[in-house]
Amino acid sequence: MSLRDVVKDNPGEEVFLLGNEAIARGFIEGKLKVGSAYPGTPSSEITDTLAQACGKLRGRYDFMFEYSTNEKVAFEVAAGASMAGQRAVTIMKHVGVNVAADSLFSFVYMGAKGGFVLVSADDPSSHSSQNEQDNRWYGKSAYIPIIEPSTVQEGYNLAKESFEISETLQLPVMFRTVTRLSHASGIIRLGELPEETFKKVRFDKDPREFVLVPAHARLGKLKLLKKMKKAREMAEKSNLNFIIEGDSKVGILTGGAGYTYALEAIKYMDLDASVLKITTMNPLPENKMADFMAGLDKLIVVEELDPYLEWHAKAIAKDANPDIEIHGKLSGDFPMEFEYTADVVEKGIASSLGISPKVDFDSLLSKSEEVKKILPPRPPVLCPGCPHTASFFAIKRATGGDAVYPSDIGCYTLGVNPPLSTVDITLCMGGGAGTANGLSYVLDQDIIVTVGDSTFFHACIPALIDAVYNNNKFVLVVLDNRTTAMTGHQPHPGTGEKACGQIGKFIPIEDVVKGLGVDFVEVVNPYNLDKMTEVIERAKAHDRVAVVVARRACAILWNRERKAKGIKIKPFVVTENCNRCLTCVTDFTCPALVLVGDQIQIDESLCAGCGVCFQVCPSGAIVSKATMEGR
Amino acid sequence: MATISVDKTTIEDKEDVVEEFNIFVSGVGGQGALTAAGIIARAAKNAGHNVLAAETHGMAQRGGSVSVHLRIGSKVYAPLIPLGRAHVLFSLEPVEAVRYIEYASKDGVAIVNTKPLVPPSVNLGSLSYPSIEQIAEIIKKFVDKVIMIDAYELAVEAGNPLTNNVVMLGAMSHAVNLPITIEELKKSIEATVPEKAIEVNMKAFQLGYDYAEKYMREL
Repeated sequence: MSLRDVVKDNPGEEVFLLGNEAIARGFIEGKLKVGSAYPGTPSSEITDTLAQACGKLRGRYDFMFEYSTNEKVAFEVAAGASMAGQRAVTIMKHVGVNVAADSLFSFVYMGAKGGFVLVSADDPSSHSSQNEQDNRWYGKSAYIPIIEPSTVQEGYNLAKESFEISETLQLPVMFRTVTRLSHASGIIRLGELPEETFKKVRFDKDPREFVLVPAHARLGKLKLLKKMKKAREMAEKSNLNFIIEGDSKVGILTGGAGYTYALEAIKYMDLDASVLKITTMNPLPENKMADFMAGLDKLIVVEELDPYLEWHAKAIAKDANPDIEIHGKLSGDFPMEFEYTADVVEKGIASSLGISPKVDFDSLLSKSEEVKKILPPRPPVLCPGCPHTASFFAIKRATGGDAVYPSDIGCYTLGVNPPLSTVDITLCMGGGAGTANGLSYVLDQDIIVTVGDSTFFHACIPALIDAVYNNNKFVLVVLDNRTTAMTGHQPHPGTGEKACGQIGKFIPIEDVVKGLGVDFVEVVNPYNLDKMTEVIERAKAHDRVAVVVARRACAILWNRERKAKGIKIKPFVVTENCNRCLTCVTDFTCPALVLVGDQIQIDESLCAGCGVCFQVCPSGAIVSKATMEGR
Repeated sequence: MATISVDKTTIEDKEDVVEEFNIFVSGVGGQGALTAAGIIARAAKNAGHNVLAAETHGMAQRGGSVSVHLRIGSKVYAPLIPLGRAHVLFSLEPVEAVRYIEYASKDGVAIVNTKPLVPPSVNLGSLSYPSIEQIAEIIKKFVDKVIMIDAYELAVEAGNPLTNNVVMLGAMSHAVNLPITIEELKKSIEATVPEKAIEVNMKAFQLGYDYAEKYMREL
């Protein structure tokens, strides 16, 4: 699992890759020319891999790759390249597609000149997301063909073929993946690593295609419908949708991750059901589905999230086989919510067949739930030395905890947990400042909004303009840790670094804010708790929207930097002056501060040496080890 | 069942004598659970097996609970191990073994590091960290063969506490009838760790192996 394997020039070799790495390799072999993305779990490793490969392959196979300001811009970057006849891919998480939706719904009217692929990485069970929306519905509402792989090898193959599918249909194509495929590793067989230099081209002007005035839009819709008809014909014939023949009157209709769980269930339950595996989620091969159902007494639908295939199957069955029994989510045999696992599918199939599963999963689960009651939880926490912890502590101190704290999407969402408890609202990217505008009309409390640096550029700026324009009053604290931390440390406009390592233009957040007309703008290092607290107090007293930029690099980056430079981390220690007031763990928090019996200790292997707890301790009992040893 | 190679884009059945072998790896971020899983996966692939792995990503950073589903064989399709079907529960931290106990197969093997890492949640005082004896008792209710090993101490003896994951691999190579040979595992360790750390890792592997041998004899 490494970049080395992704950029290997050894066709036929079998390599073990993360699903997202395999997908990235597929796009390279499919000869992408321009790639764009806004990072978002579970899609991030596709973009990280393309960003690194783009530098690594330069001179051998040239392509452009950028981190865009947000998903809408990313979509348009790829659309622009496609309009000029070049192959382009844009990558985002499921909710990112909502941001790009405005561009998507109209771009389909233009169609794709160069192959255009939109990767939507969905997150059933919301492992790292604010919702678990099922993006297959975009296929219906936006008229975009959707392909969805089930395995790592299939992800690689489909990524490679996706540009050709798009060019054949002259339509953008959505490539849907889910967390369990993106973050699964498997063996793939490598194809040819392309060899090509980058050539600039001339734009082929065609206003009837590219200028969507109403008259052109109406023509565009007619063309779109024709193209979708062709897509449907392709789906009917495609061997991407295939049948595994069984020997009974029971059939399983499935696709995506559900397919792999269905195969597991067939194995364990020793079933002889036929399987129709769907890869083209839109348009669906309705005739193939009808033929499949025609010979069956019972159809079991195995799909995660919404009953998308199931509703279609019901509609198709009305003519194809009205007597067929259809089991799935709507029948109550399978759950509507969360990702599937092998046991969920085995149970659902057993229930559909009116039998018991081979393993009594329910009693196994209740037995294990019982013994787990004594386990201390180990939830994700802010890292040792995280500047967000210091910022939240100062915000709480400056407001006495008596304020409303809208926040946003990033590591700092963890500020919701006690003892910090300074995140009251997390809606979506940019949603903190957006909702603060509305709250400011109706609340008689102070409002302190937190937002990350990358999120600030992504979707916070229009909300801040709204506050300036309408004279809405709140404090916006930009937690500027110099990176997009949660998704794996991608650069952004506020770092000035570009995706493939080159230098771009650094855009200081305070300059942007001043340019928007905010008249209270201060930059402060959150590690300095007194200063940070004092600035928040003044910002709170300001009579309009006030912006505080809390700037301090992510502790993980700081650790990496020190390691690279050979600088030893100087940990802090607890001295005998500790009077066990426990303020450092009940008001403040850090994974390096551990309670052993009734004694606080600092785990030196975890301590980042930030010195914030030194400032928190009321009795001066925390000191730098170097100071104590007289150095 | 019909072969699942109807189409080029789907799973190919490999000529593989092993149909299914599942190892559930757990631990705490920073302990080397992902590295251990990577070593096993590489060895299995080099032994000619089909391999699937699924790791936890998302919000878990250093200090969070980490788990990897590792599946080896020609008849594995989904990346997640079904409940009750892990042949091996391999945990680098005692509480993290119990956290995923429902995955263990009753007639499987649990290999559990006894060195606790106390989570910060214990600081706030609602739950204390259970005793190792208590944890061993629980695991024995779910798995017939349980090996408790102080991998941390053996790793220190080998010369580097960070090799506790390799100590555990050594113990597993003796205690479990793996579809991978000891030589293949060692080769994979050599290919994974930095060159200057090979010697200490080999020592760690051997200490784990010897411990399991002695432990099994005494059972």
